[in-house]
Amino acid sequence: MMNVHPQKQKLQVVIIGLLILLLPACLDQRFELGNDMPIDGQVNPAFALPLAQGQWSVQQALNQMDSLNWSTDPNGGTAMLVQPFALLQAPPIELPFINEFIVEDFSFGASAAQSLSNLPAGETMQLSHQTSWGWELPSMDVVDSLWFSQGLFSASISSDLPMNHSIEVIATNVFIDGAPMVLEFVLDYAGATPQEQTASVNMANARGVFNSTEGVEVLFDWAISVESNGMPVDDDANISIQFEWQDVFVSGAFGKFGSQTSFDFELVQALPLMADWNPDQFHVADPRIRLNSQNSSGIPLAIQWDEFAFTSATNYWPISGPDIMDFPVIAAAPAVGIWSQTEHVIDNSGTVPTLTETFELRPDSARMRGQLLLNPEGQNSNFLTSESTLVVDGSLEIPLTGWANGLTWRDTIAGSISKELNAGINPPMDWQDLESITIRFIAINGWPLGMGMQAYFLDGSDELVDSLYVLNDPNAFHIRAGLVDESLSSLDLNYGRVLEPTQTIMDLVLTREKAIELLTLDCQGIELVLTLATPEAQADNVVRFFPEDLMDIKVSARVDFAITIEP
Amino acid sequence: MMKHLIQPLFCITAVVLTAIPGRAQNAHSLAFNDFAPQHLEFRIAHQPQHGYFAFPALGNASFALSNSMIHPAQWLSQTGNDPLATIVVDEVFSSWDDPNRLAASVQLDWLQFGRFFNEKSSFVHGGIREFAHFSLTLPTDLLKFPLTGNANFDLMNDAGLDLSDLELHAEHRRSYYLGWQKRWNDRLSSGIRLSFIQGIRNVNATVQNLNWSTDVDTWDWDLTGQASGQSSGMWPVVQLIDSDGLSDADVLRLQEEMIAGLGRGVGMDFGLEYAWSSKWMTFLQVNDLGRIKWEEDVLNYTTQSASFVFTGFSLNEEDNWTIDGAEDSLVVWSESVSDDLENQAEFIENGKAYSTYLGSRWSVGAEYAPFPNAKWSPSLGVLLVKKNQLPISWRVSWNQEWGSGMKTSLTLGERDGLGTSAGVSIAVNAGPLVLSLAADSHRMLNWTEFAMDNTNGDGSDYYFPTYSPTIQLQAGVVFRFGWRSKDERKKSNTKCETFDVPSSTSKPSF
Repeated sequence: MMNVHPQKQKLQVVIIGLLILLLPACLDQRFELGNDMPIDGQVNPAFALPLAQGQWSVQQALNQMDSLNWSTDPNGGTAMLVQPFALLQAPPIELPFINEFIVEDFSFGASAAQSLSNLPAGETMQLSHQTSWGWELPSMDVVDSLWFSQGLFSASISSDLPMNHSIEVIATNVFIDGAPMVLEFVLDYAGATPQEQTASVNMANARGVFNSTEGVEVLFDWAISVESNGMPVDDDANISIQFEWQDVFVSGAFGKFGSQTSFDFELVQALPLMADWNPDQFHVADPRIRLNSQNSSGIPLAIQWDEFAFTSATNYWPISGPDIMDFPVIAAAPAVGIWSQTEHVIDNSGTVPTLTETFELRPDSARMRGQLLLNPEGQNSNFLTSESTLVVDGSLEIPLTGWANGLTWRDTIAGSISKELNAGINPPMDWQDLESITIRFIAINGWPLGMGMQAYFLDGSDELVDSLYVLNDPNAFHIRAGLVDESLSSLDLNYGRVLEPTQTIMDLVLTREKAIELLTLDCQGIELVLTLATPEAQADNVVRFFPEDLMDIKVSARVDFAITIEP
Repeated sequence: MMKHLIQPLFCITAVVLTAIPGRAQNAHSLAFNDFAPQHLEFRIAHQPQHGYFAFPALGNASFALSNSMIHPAQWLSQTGNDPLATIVVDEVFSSWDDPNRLAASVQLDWLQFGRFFNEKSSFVHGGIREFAHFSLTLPTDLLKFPLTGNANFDLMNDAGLDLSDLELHAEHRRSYYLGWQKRWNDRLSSGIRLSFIQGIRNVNATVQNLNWSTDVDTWDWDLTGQASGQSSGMWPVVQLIDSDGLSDADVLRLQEEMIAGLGRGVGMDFGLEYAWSSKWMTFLQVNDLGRIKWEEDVLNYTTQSASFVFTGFSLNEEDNWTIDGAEDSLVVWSESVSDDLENQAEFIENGKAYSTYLGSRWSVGAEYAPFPNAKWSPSLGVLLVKKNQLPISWRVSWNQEWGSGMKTSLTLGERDGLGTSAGVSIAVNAGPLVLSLAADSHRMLNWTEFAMDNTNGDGSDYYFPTYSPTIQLQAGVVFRFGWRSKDERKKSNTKCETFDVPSSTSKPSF
């Protein structure tokens, strides 16, 4: 066992005690803190945030223009502006009303009268007879058949026979409900002559079948039955009948209409879009006018132009060329109820001057005048009903094929920019620590259209006080157009088409210096100017916009701080 | 900008570090001081000097703070001629390179007792202990974020910001424990302690594998990761805070929960000690084996691993998007994004019961007594402690008795990987009382003064430990049994005790 001397033990206690007392040494340093504390080293925090992103096809962009109609060019698939218009909607020719009459007389003569006089009382005699009634219809050389939809066919009879008799008149080629039209008269002798009677038939849904080459010819069969009452018949006794078509409307005519029969027409179509055309900024390479004729008559028609011209308030530009002069024959409908379709396209290749050249003159309307010719290729079997219509409508088609240069969109944001900046940054942000604010645009552009942006800072009088970029600044905001192979021929499917999208990363940087500069200006507004152009437009290089062409735009923001104050 | 942050940063830091409840970790410096009953926390198989009974709430109190995140004195420099301190950016960055953790805990024993049986071959002890803990772990990149941002691509690696292992943990529990120590022979002894545990409140929130990448070109965000959260008894507290006042029913409910608890569990401590010789002794111990099942007032959130790319407001999804209606469109869009994120992450909310482990702590150690027969019983000790996923803690100790009245341990070691520091424990037998005091970090004694803008004379001064990653204090007062030796008792009652008995606790050898 090891013993420790009491004095040593006390010494140890003292040493330990001192150690314990000295250990809490306490306050070993002091720092002065304040707002102007220097910083040793660099602190450059940067915060980035994706703000927004979107993808737009050409079709989606065009759809934003509600007032315009957009379609796809069936010829090449490009997006296409379509401005439809209606030219004509009318029957090729008017069908007639029939108002005709004829008087037929049966004169018995002496021998027939004697025979009737000798007929014993109570005996009857049957007589028969056939007649026909023909006349011409206007515009028709040959009438095969007619449809009637309204009007009356009437007959009035006057008989001198002093006996009871009945008369049946059958129109053998005019049918009511499928049966020949019949008029019957029953005359009961009451002691006086002449005996008179009237009968009529409603011609609604009546049909007439004619084989005459001279027009309309109605065939009548007569059947007369007389019953003797012993009275003598005068030698000059007569039965007289007057037939009459009263306002009978022909609702259908089948036969042959006259060849080279013509009717005049005159139309004016407004073209408001053309008036705003700026040929220096926008060039369309392949405009066209598509005319669509629909014919429900059985008559082929031709248009003979007297005038096809574009006009403005002060100018007049007639155009001609094969597309105008060689207008196709509008086909006849093959049957009732069926429409024939005839389409004709007027484009640059068939017009003199071309449509492009004419449009660039900025007409405000189109004027068309001429004649419609029936059976232009000679007499033929035709039909025409009351429903038959010739409809000629059309559309101005402008495929987005061409070039654009310097298209400009401007907007001004009014506000106390300098004042707002001051209020926004001081406080809470110490502007001295802020290096820059960057708005990054990332465009993946599949459109054949490049874009540039400039911002002008305006004072209270809208005078320019500064701009975001200096003139020809290589760092100016610009989104490149999609890549187009300009070496391809116009016959190539990919002619003018974007073959590869381009990616542009564009930073809009508001530096501390620029912001401080803005603070000192009396900036009262910002004018944003967006300019659009297709590649190599100044060299007339043509591009094509397809509805499915896509453009992705992404916007992100980044704030860079720079705290680099050295002690 | 940064300069303006300094003052509030200090204030917030000081408030956080002084206001958060402590984390109960026992002082390692007490492991070799068997005058203090608290040494049982590391050496349950080692006999204390006396049986004891503690005064309520005074027998053992422990308070600990861990801070590997905020050390403002390390971030500044100032020479004598400089009117103001300089912020050294590199020091700020380097201080956050390691794991950044704020933790605090407090432990208080409401009741403590210990008594020998069978001629000191057995020792039984027990008590009621209150324990509260809070920890917050922040990823390095999250702390650096205000100074680097998410788009400082020169400083960041390709992987972006690594925000993994963001953790928040808080727990309040109470244990009723009873231990038994047995000395099997002169060499081997063992100890075991069983605890019935009341879980009072618990919250765990973890963000795992969270990565935030910002594309160099597009500045799009790519977020990947998953998260989970469990809580029991916390939402009423949140609601009460939000409700700006407590009703009588709320107060009653909190009181009932404080008494009855919301979870149940059991725990066990176990240790062995072996004396190889009169000079060498080694020990092994495991604490806090067991778990708590939280069954009441449970609210859990979990997500699956998900990847979410944020590309900004989608103009395509809002056909009617206009500047005038931008606010409404943004709301609609953000709801859509939120729904997408929720669907991708398979966000699940439920109230299922869950279990938490107590957090086992393993400790091994050795004690060497070069002069086993010396009256002042000098010894050297070494202790290794491993708790959960924290780094191994170690401590060496010089221990010495000062007669029968006092024992001290002067220690040096490192707790939880938070730097080396010296510590001390003192246990004093003051008559019937045993006073114990221990601290593991001498660094907490060094403080720095921060003088805020004294130019106009209206500034104020703040004080903060210069560099003290850990602050650990433990103290207690117990009544010791047998504080008068049998000799003394005999002298006072000679009629009854006419002969001396050995005072040694060793069994006589025959």
